[in-house]
Amino acid sequence: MIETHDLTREYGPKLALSGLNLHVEPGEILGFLGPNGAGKSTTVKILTGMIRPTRGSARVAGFDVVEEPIEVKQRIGYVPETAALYDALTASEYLELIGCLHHLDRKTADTRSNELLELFGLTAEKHQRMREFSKGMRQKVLIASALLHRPEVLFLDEPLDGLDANAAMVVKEVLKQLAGQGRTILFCSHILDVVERMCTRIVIINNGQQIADGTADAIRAGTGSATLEEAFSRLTGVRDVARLASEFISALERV
Amino acid sequence: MRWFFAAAGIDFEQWKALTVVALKNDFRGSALSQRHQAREVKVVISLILQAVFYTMFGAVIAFLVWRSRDLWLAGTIASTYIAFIVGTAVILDHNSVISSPTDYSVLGFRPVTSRTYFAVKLTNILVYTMALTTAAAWVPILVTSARHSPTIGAALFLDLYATSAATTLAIALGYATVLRAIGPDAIERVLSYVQMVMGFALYGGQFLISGVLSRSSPGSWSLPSSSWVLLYPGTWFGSYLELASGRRSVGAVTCAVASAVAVLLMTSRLGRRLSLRYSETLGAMTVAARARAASVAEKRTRRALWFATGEARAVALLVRGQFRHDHRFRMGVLGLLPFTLLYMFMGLRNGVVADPFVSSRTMQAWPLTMAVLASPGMLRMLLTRSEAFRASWVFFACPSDRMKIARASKDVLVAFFLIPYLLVVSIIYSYVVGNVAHVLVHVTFLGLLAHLVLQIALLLDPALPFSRPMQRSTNAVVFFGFTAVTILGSVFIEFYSARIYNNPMSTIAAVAVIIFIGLGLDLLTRARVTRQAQLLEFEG
Repeated sequence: MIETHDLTREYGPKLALSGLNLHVEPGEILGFLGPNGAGKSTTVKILTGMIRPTRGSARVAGFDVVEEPIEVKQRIGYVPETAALYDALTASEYLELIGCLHHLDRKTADTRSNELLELFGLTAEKHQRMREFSKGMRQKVLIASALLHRPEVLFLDEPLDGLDANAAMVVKEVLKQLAGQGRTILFCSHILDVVERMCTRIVIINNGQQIADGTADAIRAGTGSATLEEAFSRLTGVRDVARLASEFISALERV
Repeated sequence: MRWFFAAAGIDFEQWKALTVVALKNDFRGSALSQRHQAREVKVVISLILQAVFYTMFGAVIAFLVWRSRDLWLAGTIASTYIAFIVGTAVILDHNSVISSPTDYSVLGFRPVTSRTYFAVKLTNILVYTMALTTAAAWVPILVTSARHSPTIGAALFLDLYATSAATTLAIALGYATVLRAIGPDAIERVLSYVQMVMGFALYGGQFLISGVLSRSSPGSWSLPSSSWVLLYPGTWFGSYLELASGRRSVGAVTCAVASAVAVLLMTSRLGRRLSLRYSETLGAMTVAARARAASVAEKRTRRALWFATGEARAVALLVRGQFRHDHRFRMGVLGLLPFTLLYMFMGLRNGVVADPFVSSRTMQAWPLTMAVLASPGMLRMLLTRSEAFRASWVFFACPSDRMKIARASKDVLVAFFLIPYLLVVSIIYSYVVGNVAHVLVHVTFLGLLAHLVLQIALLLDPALPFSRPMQRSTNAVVFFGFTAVTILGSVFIEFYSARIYNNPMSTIAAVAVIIFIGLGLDLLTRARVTRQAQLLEFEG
């Protein structure tokens, strides 16, 4: 369902992504991890057709992201890392906008929009401008907009960011059920315990390169770590967190 | 310097740091699709073009000053034109500087006083207005010094810079006063209308002077003898030239004193506004807006007959939503309204809106034609920019047809703006001319031409709607450039319309040519959009 081969992206002299090979099956929830600037968002942007790779290829839902971008975009849902919305619109209008861009007929779009807003507890606010929405409410609208056209593949970049505990539980359950229906989910997050519990497989990248691929148990075992958090630290090069923190505090006091 | 700032209650270090950052931000334009170096080159080219443009504008002022024997009138004309270009630049490019609550979310919790905050905003505007004044003023000052004397040249220097500062202060004071007078819950809506009123005052002044000039030949220009004319602020600053020439009449001295008092009063009033918790008011705007929205739900949007599905519906929805609630977009649109209406008025006032089928007419109805041709194109420019430009990722991530989106953004302007304009023009022509058939043919012809202008604007810049950040300094230049081109086009149409309507065959041929060119433009736009879709990446 998602397949990349030697996927590479350069920004001028900077190599943001280097030779990534991914294979994600239908029904799989892939945890896509990495420190800040590792290349996660670049990967997602390539897979969603928003930017092009410098080298390599990628297929999503059976279509090439460079050669057949429209076919890819018809089949994917995307929640970007930055919750950028046209916040002069109401939640209902925004979902209508997305429905129009996906060519859903009015009745279907309305029905799904109402269902999704109800699922996220936004029915009462659906005719209010999103400018006045809290971060969590905006995030709910973004998730709803990603699900509106029932995509086969979901790209979620920090989807739980800003959500309250109840909403986060709803989203996690929805994702599990969607995966159960055979949809593919690529899940980027820094909340490692959530990733550990939700994802069937985890890929970790650092400096644009894949450094681990496997289940949470396999990655822990492979690094000799007790937790995924510890394994992540080891793999991404931060080995002595306590010493780093001490140095930081000392530096603050020196200045 | 530091002492002065301290006495004014402004933190010099903060003022310096924030001013530098504000200017840097302005010069670092778009985050979309441009590499750093290309962006810098573009900024430099844009600055050079602006300098050339305003210098050419200054050359027009220099010509008028050169030809006028009445120095007071020459000073008044120069003052009016400088107020016109500075005011237009502030209204079109810098309106958000004073009224924007955006910075408050970044600075609101920092130890920055209201006074320092406002001073930074004001400095930011003054840097631009003084720079463009310099570009527009150097030619007239040199010409005046050569034509009359260096003393009169120095007086013109004072005239132009004082007018520029007074115009900026007046507009800033207008915004600051409204911020204080109107409750935060209504401020966003009201500011748009305040801007429109300012636009009427500004363009009205310019038309007033144009009217005075058009009634006489340049060599015989003189200030009307009526003392009412001295109520016009342009004459106050223009009086410096009269005084510098040695003619110290009571009227000239009074006017000069009035100009100084006006600047001092505005500075003082602004100073007081600074202590009125300005930044807190801006902060309250966002809080009040949130509280208001929590209690007032938006009405369900009605389904239009046009733009019913797909990309067209999406663009219409977006444009309507942005116009209703994005006050910067609304300010931009409403900022154009005075210009359009005054040009329509000018066309009527010339008193010679005649049957376009008659060749003997006086050709002075061109402003009416120009209002129809120019406004949709200028609106198209506004339609591409928004503070919410990062939300345009949806156009990149959704399976939408870019050409359909581009075409929809043109069609929305045709439906919401061009057709209403044409209806107004039809009513005016029908009332004055009487021959409805002639009016229908002419208005259809104008509509096709205006559509062609929109198509050209789209071909030149097929940007997605609201996909670019707000950019300062370029709107006014595009506005003036667009105005100049459409004035030429309008005069051309006025001149040739009777020949085009001379017989049905020539009319049909002219319409066919326009339609043919339109189809060609559509094909070219499609090719350009397709190529752009292949190259353009989202980097917001």
